[in-house]
Amino acid sequence: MIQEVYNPASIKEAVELKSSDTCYMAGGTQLNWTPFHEARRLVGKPQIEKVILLQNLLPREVKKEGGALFLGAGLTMQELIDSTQVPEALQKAAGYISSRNIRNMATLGGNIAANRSESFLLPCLIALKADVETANEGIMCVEKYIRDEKDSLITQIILPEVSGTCILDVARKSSGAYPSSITAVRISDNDAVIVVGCVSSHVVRLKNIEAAVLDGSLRGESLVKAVSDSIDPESDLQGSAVYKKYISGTMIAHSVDLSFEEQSGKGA
Amino acid sequence: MKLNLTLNGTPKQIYTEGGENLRELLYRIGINSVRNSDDGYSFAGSDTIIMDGKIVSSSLLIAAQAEGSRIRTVESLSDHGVLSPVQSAMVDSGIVQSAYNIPAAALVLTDLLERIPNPSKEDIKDAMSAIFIRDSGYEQFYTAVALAQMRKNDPEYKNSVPPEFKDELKFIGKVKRKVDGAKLVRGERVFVEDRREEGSAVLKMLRSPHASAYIKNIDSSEAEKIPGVVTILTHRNTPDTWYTQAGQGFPEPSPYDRRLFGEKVNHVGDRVAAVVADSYEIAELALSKIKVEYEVLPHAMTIDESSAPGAPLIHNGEIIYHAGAPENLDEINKNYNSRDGKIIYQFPIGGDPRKNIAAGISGGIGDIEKGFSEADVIIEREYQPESHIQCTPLEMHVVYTKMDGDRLIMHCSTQVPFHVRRITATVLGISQNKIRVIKERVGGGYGSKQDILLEEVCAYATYTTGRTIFHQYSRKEEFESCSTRKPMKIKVKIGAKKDGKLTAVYMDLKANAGPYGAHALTVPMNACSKSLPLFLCDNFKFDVVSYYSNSSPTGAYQGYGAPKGSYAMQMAAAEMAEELGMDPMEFLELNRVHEGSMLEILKCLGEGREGVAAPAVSCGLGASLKEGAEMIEWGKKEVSDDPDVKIGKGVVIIQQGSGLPGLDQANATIKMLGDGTFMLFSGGADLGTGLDTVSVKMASEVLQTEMGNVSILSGDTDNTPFDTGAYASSGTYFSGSAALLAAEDMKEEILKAASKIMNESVKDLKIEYPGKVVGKKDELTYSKLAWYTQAGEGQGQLIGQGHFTTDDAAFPYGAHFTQVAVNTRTGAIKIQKYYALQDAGMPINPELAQGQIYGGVLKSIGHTLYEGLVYDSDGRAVNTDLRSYGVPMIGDVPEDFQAKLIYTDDPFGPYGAKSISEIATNGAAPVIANAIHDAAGIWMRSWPITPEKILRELGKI
Repeated sequence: MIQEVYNPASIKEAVELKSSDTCYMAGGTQLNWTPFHEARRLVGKPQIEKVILLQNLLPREVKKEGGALFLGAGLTMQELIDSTQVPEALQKAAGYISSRNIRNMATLGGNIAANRSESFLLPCLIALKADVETANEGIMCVEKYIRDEKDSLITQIILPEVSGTCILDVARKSSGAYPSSITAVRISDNDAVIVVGCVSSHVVRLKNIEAAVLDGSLRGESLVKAVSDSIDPESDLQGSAVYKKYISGTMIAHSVDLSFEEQSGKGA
Repeated sequence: MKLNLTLNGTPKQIYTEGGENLRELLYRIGINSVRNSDDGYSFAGSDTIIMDGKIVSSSLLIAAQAEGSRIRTVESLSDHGVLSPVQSAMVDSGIVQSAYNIPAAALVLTDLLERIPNPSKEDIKDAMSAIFIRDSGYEQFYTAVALAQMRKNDPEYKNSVPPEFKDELKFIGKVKRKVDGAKLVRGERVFVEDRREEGSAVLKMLRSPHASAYIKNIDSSEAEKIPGVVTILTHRNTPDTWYTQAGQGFPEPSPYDRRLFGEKVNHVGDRVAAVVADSYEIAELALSKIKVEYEVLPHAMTIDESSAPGAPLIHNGEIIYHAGAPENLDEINKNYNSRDGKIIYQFPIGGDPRKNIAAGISGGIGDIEKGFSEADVIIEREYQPESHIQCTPLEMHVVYTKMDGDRLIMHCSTQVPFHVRRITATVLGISQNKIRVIKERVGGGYGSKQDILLEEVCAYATYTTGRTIFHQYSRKEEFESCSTRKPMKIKVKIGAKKDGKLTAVYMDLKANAGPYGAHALTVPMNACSKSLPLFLCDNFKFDVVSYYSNSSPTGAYQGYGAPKGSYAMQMAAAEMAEELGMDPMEFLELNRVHEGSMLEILKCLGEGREGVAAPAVSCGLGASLKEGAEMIEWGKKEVSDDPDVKIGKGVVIIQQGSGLPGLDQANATIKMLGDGTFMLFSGGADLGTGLDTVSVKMASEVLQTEMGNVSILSGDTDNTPFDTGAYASSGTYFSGSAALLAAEDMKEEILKAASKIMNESVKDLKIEYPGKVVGKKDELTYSKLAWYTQAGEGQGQLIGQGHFTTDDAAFPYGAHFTQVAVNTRTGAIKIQKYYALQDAGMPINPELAQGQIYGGVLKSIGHTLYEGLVYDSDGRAVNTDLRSYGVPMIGDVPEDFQAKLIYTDDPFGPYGAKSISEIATNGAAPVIANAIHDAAGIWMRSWPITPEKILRELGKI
């Protein structure tokens, strides 16, 4: 149980309060969530007892500058959905969080910082080549932030101008269920990004197949197999490893097809 | 720290410490409507509040996050008790049933209409996305929103969506406000937890980490030294009294195979010790100090494991029969182990614990072999609805016990207050007059509150310590230690002539009874008795065996055994139709029961007593099939634009019973009060289904007085007469009939008394609306009559009594149709259409009846597609939260979902009523499976039908 609560007056003060036994809290949907504490207990991690409240500190603006879109880390999922400026794919990703209650609480920065494999947002953000601006480590890409398991305070998310539509897909048993797989595919004339969640400890980008997807040499069944061979999921409540490999491959192959169809449609 | 916030418009300063949870703080300061259904998982939505204009989950907030905020709860919605348009619309739409999180839903819909005055269906779905509703499904929320919009301008606007029946009746069959609806939607203090008083102790249970083990040693001495620990109960200091937790009529057809605490634990989560302490913190600390040494035993989790040669014996205790002991009982008992305790059978129910068989039975009619020899086509299939399905009531199991002098008072959330009293008296070794059970509003039961799962422990602790004690399960305990639907494996062999006429039906059913034998016989028998009599065939045979195992406990669940029996039988019928090249609907029409058919098979399916053949006196199957076929355009093949998506349709027929004729009993009394109004006392236990409203309507209709003139007290063992309880679909048929008889008795008393006062013959008098006696010469209001009878020279207060027992059966019937889309690439299943057409006789509360159909269907859609406990190799359930377990939410509701009430006039039910709720759970599994076959050519013969299983069946993985 949380024993101490710090309520800093500024981001700077919040960063100063951060130590190995304190934790930032934005919306609270992660740190106040029973399974989070259960999971820490199961792996022998110490319980979070001291939190630094960020709710009144983090920016919640959406602004466009020089082609890039700047999203305040304190924006909630629902605010992303309600914004007219946020890319459709990111809105769709936020909408995958089935509970409106949670969407009203969970923040964009918190979702990235939680770095969960089943994050609905991370595959999309990586596909969109998003960067995060941190309070004390500068700007870095989201992919690096999660891969290196950073815990620096995210203040802003920057979406550069990218071409190609980001196509998302999710597999789950029911509307409120934990996902079995989450995929994001974005293909443009000169790059392809393919990302999948729920198949390892972090969301992963499948760089090894992106080039072949971009040049069109990897499609259909062969792409399904290539994805399956590239990931090594564990069997769990959301499905067997075999199923997760198949469904991830199938969703990505389908998204790639849709992406090329869209491109050819545009070309025509 | 001091927390400053504005609560429902009033500035507040509240003291809070550290990271106190906001929901807990709100509850602590008296906001009872913000409830806990899932211990901080925040999936169920019972903890919903509006904070700074946004709907949020208060369990996911610490109080410090609310500093300076504006918080609204449902208490803000009704001004001086007057319901807001949203609240009144919710009650009148039929969605306020058990209502544990209905206040949260009221808040959500209020927020929705403030944001979007004219919301679309998608907007409503989005608003309700965090609210788990188990009882009424979600469909009527759309009606409620539309009604609330109308009532903003016209508070009296009537809900015209539900059908009404019989114009000549004023209350029966009409949409009338549920008598407890207002207090439920206002979030008032109506549940057991709301009775908790300052200074009461709490009880926490130490539970077994092993699926099977002897307790070699248990040392609670360190725990007992902790200040604030009141008592610690173990097998060493509690009675050696054996009983069944099944809330069934005595003598129960369930083995007495457990005591308060055993020396042997039989499942993960089994009771080891109970700590009673002044606070949860002290209780938790004490639990951690209890040292238990286990001798771990091998375990058996499934039917196959329990029935295998050399399987671990779940119960190797002494077997005792109170009647009908087998001649070789001494031989059977030769090697019993006293550490296993006892198994006491009240009478033989086919049990053979030395083979892990808790109960069993075989029977049939005709000559099954002859039937198969006459068949042109025979099919034999095995169906495996073997998943552990949990009732998941929003209100977790709870009890509050205290002493009143030498009497024990029990505030319970139960379906069976009188069984609670009887079983508790047995366990405590005291007489029934020393116990009062008060059934509070029940925040969801669905069968799990038919059993006595925690009441007797708390009662014992209070009785021996004198302390007032509160005890509530956690959600994890709900999954591990409550009762689940019995997993089954069902082989069906059927034979038919080329023309489709059935010649023989054989059902070989094995059930997993779990660690204790509550309902071990009757649930699997019910799978036969509610699925076989739908078909007319001269030759039936069934074999039922119920195996003990070390899985989670099993028991009753809405539908009892019928949903699984129906799944097997209706799928087998569809598979036979395919073998014969027939349309499945044609096959059903050819073989189904009709009005007047004699159901001979019932004479060997008596559920613990001698059965009797019974006629289907009223039967709405024909109309259900006809109307449903038109609605779904049966025979028309639908094609998707997406080549991966295949569309198919299914149809099934279903039935249930209305209580247990010959076994059940209900009683009611009604008193005329001093102003001519009435107080009705019903033994019935309203679970939120509207039974109290049914009873009041009975009295109002007979006595021709407004429902507001009849108040009801029900389910209080001190103040209401005996009733067997709310199970087996008995509410309307039994308890409703008792209320009807009491009202008719009152009517006679009124006429007799009026005759004397008015000096007119009884035969010249009649009762007329509104509440008066009319004679040839004069008329007398009830108010005046009450004054005359209760004055100093009056004859005394008028009291009517009703006592209902019967041997007559009233079977509800129905047909369910569905259209599903199967994505053959991903295995995803979408239910595009679901039409449930049900014959409930005369629906007394039409809007609630429809709500129960929607709720029953959606539950069973969940059971079919998503739900089920998963165990690890140690026998531990690993998905003990609502989300991992897989309950359906509003996003899972069929795109086009309709519940139709098919009217029939049953001669036995009160005003022609039959049961409504349980039958609704029988259709979804087989009709979805059959539609999947129609779509994709695969037969899905096990639960749950997941995308992964679909892909495997299609050969994709």
